[in-house]
Amino acid sequence: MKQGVIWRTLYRLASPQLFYRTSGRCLPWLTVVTCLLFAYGLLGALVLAPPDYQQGDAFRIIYLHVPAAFLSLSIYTTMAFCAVLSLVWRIKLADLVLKNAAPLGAWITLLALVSGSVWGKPMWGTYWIWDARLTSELLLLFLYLGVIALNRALGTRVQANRALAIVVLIGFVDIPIIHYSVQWWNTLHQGASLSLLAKPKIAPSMLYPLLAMIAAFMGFFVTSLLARVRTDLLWVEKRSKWVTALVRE
Amino acid sequence: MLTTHLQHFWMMGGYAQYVWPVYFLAAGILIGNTWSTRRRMQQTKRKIKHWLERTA
Repeated sequence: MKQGVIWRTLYRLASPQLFYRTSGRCLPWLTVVTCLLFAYGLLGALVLAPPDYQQGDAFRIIYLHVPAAFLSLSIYTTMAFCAVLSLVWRIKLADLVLKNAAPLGAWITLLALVSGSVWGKPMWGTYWIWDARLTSELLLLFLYLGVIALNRALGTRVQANRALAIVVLIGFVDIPIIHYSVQWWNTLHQGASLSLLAKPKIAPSMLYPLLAMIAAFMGFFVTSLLARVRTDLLWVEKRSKWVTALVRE
Repeated sequence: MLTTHLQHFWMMGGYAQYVWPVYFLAAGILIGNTWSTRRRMQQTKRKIKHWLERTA
């Protein structure tokens, strides 16, 4: 019964007009919450958190690196989920989400790589090393760039959407490799400091701003993605009456 | 007093050359993406308006 309600709600939300209207109502609130999370996160990251006893103030780069790395994996997982929705249920909205998430994912992965590399110089003595975690994350950036390039080359035909979804699903193999690389191989990159199941190894004064920054990055992604999908939706649905009425307002 | 505090903050314990570029890059990426998304929405609305005028 409950499952039926969830599916019905999801199916209704997949309607372009309802999605446009609902996301339009949510966007201002999401923007405010994201800005507040960034404000608290940045204050904590740069001012309130004490310097690390070993890394000094260089550890403050982690407040950007960890959220960016976490988000780079989450965005690709979202894309893979949309690829399944597109291939199995042919949901038009899923194709738009997949295509619009890719550029955001590429930028965030670039930030994760650059921030990690800059942090690595004072801590490891080098900007780059062909370590399993770093290499698989670099591969993720290439996957994002590949999806963007393929999308531009293929256009908007149904076969193009299917091809893009299949490529995204093949690339998904890199996500568990990135996540477990620090366990499977002997890497210079340290293991996870945060886990859903284990007690955090970080002091609360450092942990809370980090959690706020992770939430802020997620908020940024959701807000940007909704805004981008709304834009594409208008163009795709330009022949429908609701778009005509909306544009002429 | 305030200047000393600000200077100390800016120096980031000797790691300023590593910390600040990363924060500026992040700001650039986040603000740039937000700006381009807003611009795309305005451009798309204008394009649809022109398209509607042409097809009417």
